[in-house]
Amino acid sequence: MESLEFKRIRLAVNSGSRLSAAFSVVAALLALLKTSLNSTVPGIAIAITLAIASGLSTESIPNLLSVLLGKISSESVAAHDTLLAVVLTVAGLFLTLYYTNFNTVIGTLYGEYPESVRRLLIDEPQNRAALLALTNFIVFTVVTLGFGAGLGIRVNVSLLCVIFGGASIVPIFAFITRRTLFFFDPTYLANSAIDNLVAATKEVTADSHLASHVAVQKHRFTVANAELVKLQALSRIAAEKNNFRRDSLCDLLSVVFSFLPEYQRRKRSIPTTSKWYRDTVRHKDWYMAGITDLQVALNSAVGLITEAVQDRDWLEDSIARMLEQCFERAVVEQDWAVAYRILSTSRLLFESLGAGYQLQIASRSFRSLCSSIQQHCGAYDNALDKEDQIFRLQVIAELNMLAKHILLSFFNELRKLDLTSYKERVERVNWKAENDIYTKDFPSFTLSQMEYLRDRLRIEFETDGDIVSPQWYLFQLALLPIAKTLDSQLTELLELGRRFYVEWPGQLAGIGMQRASVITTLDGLEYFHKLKFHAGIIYERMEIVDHYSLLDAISYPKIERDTVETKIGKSERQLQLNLAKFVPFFAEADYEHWIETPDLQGHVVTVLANSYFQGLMSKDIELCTRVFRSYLLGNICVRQSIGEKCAGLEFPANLAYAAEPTTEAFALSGFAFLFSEYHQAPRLWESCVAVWRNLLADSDTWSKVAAEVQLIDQAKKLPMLTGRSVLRTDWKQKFSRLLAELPSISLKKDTDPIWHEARVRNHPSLCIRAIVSCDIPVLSIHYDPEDIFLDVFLGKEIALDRSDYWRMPDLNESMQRQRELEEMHDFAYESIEDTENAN
Amino acid sequence: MQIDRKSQSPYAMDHPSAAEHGHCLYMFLEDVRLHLIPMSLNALDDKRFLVEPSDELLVQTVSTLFADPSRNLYNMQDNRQRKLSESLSTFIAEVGRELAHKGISYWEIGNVSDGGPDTVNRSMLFWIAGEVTERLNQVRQRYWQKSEGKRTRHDVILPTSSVQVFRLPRPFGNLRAHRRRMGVLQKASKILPSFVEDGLPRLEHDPVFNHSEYSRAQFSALAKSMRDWGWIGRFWDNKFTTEYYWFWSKIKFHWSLAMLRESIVHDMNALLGRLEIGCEIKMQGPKTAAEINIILEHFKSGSISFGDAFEQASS
Repeated sequence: MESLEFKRIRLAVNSGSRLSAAFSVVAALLALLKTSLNSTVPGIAIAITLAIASGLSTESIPNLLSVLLGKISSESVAAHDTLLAVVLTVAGLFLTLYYTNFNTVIGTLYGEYPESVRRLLIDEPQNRAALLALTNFIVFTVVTLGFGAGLGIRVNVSLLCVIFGGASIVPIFAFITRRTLFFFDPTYLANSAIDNLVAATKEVTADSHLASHVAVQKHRFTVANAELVKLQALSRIAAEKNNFRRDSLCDLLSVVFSFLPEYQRRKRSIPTTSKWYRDTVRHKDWYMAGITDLQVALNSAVGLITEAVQDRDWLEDSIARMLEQCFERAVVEQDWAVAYRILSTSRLLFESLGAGYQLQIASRSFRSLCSSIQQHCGAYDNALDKEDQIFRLQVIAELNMLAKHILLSFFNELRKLDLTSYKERVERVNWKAENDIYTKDFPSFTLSQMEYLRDRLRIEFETDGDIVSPQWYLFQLALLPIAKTLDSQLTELLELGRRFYVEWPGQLAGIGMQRASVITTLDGLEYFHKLKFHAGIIYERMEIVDHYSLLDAISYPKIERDTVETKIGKSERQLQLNLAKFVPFFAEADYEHWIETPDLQGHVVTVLANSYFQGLMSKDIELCTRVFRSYLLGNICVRQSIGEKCAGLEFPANLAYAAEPTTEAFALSGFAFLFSEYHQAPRLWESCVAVWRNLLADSDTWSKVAAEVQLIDQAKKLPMLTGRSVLRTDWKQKFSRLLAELPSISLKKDTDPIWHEARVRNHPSLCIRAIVSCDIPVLSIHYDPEDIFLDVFLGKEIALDRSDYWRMPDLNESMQRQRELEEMHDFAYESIEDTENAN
Repeated sequence: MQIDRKSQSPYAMDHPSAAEHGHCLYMFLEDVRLHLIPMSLNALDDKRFLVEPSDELLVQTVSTLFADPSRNLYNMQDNRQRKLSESLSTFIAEVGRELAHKGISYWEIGNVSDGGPDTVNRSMLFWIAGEVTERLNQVRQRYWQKSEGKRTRHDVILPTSSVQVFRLPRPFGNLRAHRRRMGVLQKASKILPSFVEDGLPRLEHDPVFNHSEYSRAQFSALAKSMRDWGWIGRFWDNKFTTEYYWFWSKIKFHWSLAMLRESIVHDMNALLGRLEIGCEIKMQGPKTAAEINIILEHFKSGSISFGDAFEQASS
């Protein structure tokens, strides 16, 4: 108001008209007077009322009141006036001090801030209220003093008011001065912006009596937008100033993010067409347009009029962008500790987005965060100290965690979606009522469909007097957004995993962040494992949707378990291949400058060992070929590092642990031989042997390998097992299950009573037939895969003397015995084709 | 008879144009004309008209009675079944179309000769064009003729005994209600109100005018007035209806057409009785109203797909 008047004066002066300038000055003064009077009306009014009340007849009022409204005796007049003058002086002094303090804050800090932030300070509600009370008290005292001095009206109660008011000045002043000190940190003002934001959202829900007015909706959108601008300005200030970046920024973001869950609940009762949501446009298709659109377009020659649609995610999107800006600022400043804290704070945001079925926004925001790291990392690597390196790794680890949080919060929310209760609520909807759909607590993503139904069913009611569409059909339509959302969200989760965990590590490695890429890849395996596990709830929900689907009239998107699991499997395979690529990094790593991180190397080698075994099981020759070389290299590195660690351990633990890596490598190589026989795929074995031959090409390695063989032999004789050996047992059990599934056939020697019941596994490989018993369908305990590897390859290659350490039957001898046995009984392998022909 | 023969042919009826009556009314009448008699009835297949008893002379008499005079079908010597199907289906379609438009249809019963050596006089129906009103035992026809640029009014009085009247069956309401319905159809044809339409070429846009609300109001008025017929327009636009309601209305429209068809055939049989032609016309093939009712029940319960239900009802 004031600024408008001053602008008028300036304009009048500039225009050279003295008369209009004078009028403008008078108008400005009147406006100021009006404003000040408005704010001090209570003080003046109370003082005048009390003065008038003192003139009332004492007979017409009760005793107590008559005492209070009684006039002060003539002896106390001087004391009365002095007290009022003192209180007035003290209050005025305090007010002056407050404004001095306030001006210091504004002058030193807020002068350079945008107007939106200054406005937040000036309009801060609690300080405003306290100041208003103080101002009114001063005005009351002045008026009371004036009545006393001028008209001789000095009322007891006025004096009492001044005494109590005067006594309250000190705590009020202490309160507002203390608050003013808080304003040195502008992020403190975020609370009032959030309060305004919350108030704006409350007025646009369907239960608000003004919610249906477009003007109110638009106004609330404008208010909320303005508050968001203020919050963005605050976050920018906090991100730029070093002294605010550490704590205040995170506090601010935390306050903003904590608003989201409540807002998402409220969204369930905001009509999707409300102008509270930001307007966007949708372009129509000429060949799919309705007759009205075509008529208008053709007659006016302006083309098809674009359709206004609402962007229902504008608020969440704006808040996510606020996070992205703050994070980017921290990354640009290479302040990794702050970046880490920002991400930790943003967990609430991403959980809300996951729970709100808004994975598109979460995914977009994630891409932005990754892009910030990628753009601004690398150049400063050398300048980073150890602590910053750790924080940078933690940033990546936190990002990995966030993706998993998105996934888990989404599935947690999905578990709460009970379709039976949803069905009951749909049946209870009164479609004729405008706002009934907003009272049934439907998920916000179904509201659009509910409105679609409501509008069409109201037409049915208008034309036919009743709703024609049956309940089964309505429920099918009500299920449509659920099926669509589940499909789109699952696709988004798969895409998030692929982009973030499968593709991004390669880009991280490209800017020299190998450890970060390894961490991300390993977390990716966890992410996909969780996705595979939790996706079951989606299949369950889709089964219910299919159950209620009476007709194919409504085309629900199909979510097929096999397709999803194949996609997850492909991503997992790619992750394993990526891990294999990172192993040379560990081999070349400078361990002296190795910062304290979890045992990534051991983790990677363990994952590769498992993926190699899975590759052998599934006859994935490409995966086996690409993984084994890296695995062996990693295994050798682990062996090297574990040797140093074991040096400090007591016997026999040092021996047992030291032998673990090589035992595992031999075991996997033995499995490569066994699976090549089992699948009749020689390339599995050839690729494994090629890696070993390459390794053994160096004659120094021979002696090392021979020493390892002796170490394993000694370790096997120890009366203890390591925890790790369980992994090999698990592999053996899996292989045994495969062998158990092999059919057995009788040996053809019916004349001999002893051999009458003898059977053999029907498999083309003599080795498989030799090692598997018919009675106990497991890989015989005499044949450990590591021993088989020594028998069929390593023993010959490095010319080991078997008698020194052999403790198992020779596989070659066993095969020879099996061959003789089968020849004696005229055994011949029966292929499936032979069996079918015979039948 | 003072009327020009040409104007008495059913094909001489004043088919309202879309420009004149609005696209809604035009399309409604077209839909009635197209779907009242399934197209295949014109061919010789399992859907056909039968005359019982199927005496050759009776078939020829019936064919002639309902034939279109302008097409000279009554002289067709061969393929009597085709002649019968064509004359009856054409007649029913035209009567149905006029009933859908005006709610009533008047036909004069005249006599014709086949012109052969052994001349046989047969009865034949002639459409009474123009404005027709009924009095006690008379029917008055009023029509205009143009001669030398001058329009002259003619009034013809016919005895009720020589006039056959076809009326809408009971489910479609009385004549007044039907005329009101046609008025709504005509109004609902306005895609945009005049004040908006006039402003379009000048690019004048009224910001207060809401297209979607206007279209909704028009659609609602149309659907409400045509509720008995089940006709909700031709344009597929899911802005206002669910897919279910769309198909439900379409099937209901076919039920209405079946009702209309059965009513016309019933009146035709009554005429045969009145003229003492000892036979009865029967339809073989098209779905009856009762059968369509059963389809509607299946449709409501969801035991039949939308497409199948529509196909069965419209066949």
